[in-house]
Amino acid sequence: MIIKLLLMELRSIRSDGRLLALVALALATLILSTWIGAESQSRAKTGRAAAMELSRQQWEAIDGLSAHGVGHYGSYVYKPSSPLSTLDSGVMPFTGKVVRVEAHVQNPPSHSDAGSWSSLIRLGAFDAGTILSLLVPLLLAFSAFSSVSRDRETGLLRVLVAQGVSLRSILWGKSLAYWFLSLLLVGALMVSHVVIDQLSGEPLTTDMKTRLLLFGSSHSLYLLIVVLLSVWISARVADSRSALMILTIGWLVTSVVLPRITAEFSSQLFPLKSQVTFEDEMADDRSKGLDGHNPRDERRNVVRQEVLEEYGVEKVSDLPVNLGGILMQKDEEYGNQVWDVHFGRRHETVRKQIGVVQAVSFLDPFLAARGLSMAFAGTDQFHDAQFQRQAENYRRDLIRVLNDLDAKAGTRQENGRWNREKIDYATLSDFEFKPQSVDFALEHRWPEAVSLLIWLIFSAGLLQIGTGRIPIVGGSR
Amino acid sequence: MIATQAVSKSYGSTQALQALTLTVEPGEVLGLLGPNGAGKTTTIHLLAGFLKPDSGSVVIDGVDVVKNPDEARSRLGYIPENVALYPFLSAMENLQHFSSLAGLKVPRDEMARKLVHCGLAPEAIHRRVSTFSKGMRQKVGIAIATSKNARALILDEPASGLDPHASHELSMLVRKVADEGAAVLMATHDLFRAKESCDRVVIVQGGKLVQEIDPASLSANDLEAIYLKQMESGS
Repeated sequence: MIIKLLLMELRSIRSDGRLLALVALALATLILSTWIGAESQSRAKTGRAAAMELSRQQWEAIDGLSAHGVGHYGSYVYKPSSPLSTLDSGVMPFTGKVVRVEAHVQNPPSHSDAGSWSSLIRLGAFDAGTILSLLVPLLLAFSAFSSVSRDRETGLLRVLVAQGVSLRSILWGKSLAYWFLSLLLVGALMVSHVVIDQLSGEPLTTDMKTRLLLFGSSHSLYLLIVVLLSVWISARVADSRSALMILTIGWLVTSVVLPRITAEFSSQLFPLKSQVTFEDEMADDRSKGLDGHNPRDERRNVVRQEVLEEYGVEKVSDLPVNLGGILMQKDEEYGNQVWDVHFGRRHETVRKQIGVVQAVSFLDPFLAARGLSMAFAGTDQFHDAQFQRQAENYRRDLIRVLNDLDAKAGTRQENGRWNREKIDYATLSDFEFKPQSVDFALEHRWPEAVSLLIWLIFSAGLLQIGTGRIPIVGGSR
Repeated sequence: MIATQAVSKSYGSTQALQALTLTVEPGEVLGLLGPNGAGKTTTIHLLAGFLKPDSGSVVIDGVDVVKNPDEARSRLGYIPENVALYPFLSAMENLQHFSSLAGLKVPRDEMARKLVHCGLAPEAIHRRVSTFSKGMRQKVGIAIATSKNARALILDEPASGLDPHASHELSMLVRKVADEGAAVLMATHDLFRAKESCDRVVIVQGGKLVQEIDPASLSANDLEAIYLKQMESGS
């Protein structure tokens, strides 16, 4: 029964040229956005490779500098794009792509697309994730608002019911027909993404396949919720105009107003310090000590004494190592603690802000869909924080190795001066970003997944058990 | 059998039906006459289970419509004043679709015969119904309703908008359905058509049954006179 009604609804949709044109437009927009995303990613990849090559050349050309000098000379690490960022760019356009790696200083990522006035940012994000979660639901609402109310107004609903068709079957048949359109859009998008990837020579790893599948599934689930609610509202309210008004207001509130209010509310509830304050406080802690009573000089003297005792000598000039390198490393380790405390606080605040959004997603499935979309595309804040964490870990390893070389790669001359060996810095490895697996996304985004499931159960429940109060006849009696 | 027992229904403060009791026996055609707003359509909608009564019971072929609407509808054929169909389908496709929804498996040639039997021209059977006149759509609706071979048939102003010839054909068809054993209730304004096809006629006004008439014992003019007299006394 439901299949027959579904097929008839699809024929009805097919007979409506305007609706078909809208679906074709949405499909073209999705594929175009993926292609633009792939082009943009390809350019970014080329640019990143060129920048990395230049940095490497500069690194290998270093000559005559001490290891610590090389630490000050520094290098750059570049954030690779997530392969699925062509589908949903998430927060990536607004976060930095490059981190300058150097001794003593933990630089924040810089050179964001937004900061560089990228052409794609000026008019807002144009990616499949945004289109699927923002525009396609509107298209579905505009398509389905009269799906039942129109039949009631024309009298077709009465003829169907009189033939023995239950309201539940009618509502499910219509819902599944509109969902089928959504699946066509999502399916076409996923196929086009795979094709574009294959054409560009990008191999699809198992993790990417899983992410792609989950990306499509989460959007399909959200669109099913939108369709079920749209059809139910069309059935429940008195006329098509009221249904359209309710759905439009619903879309506006859930997709535009509530997300912004939630973002603002979470910022008020868990405020982040401004970048200037954040950097000032970190510099202050770095110079004064973590508890505010441990000046740097005092710490240096303590370390100096410890090293002298460790090697059983009285004077620095008797040490078989370069004290400067050891002091620098100790200073680094102290700085690392400061960084861990301050960035830990900052990340915790961001995590709490996201927690507020995740809680509100139980009221607004759009937020759940957006969160999952970005997470499965590997472009949410959790994934972005991993780049900063890995870049910092790389910096620590690099500076530790350099300080170690500064301390030990050399010999003590008879006059007490430290004679450094010549070091081949080209042997030091480049930064290599290790992408997070899909488990990482699920681990951080399970609240949104649960929210979508609850919304699905609720909206399906409306169709399954909420048909008792649906009017079969309209104004005419 | 079609039966309502002391059925009342109101819309807000408007009382549409007041303790209306009707019975239509198998093989009988009952005409439901009354002015606009008398409660005819409400009665039809209650019988089809589209509305629930405030009080009283509604029974189709022994099945309580309120308690078991799906079962009651399976025994019911319904023809509205304006038959709504899928405009992008042909008459045949509409009949096929609605028959299959009712769980019927009817061969195509039998469906074609049914449509012709209901007065549709053979050359129109495979035309899209979006090109049909109201009368043609009405005939397709009659074919859909009667193809169920239902034990009860309810018609809401079925001849509205039909030309005299089509209207006469409809009367004959209704008569034939009743002769085959179905109970038929027909709400109508058309006194002449009521006299032509009904075994009994009841006049409702203000949601109440005000008079029952045997049309066979009267001329159409007499019937009209009685009807107008009731309207005047009720107004």
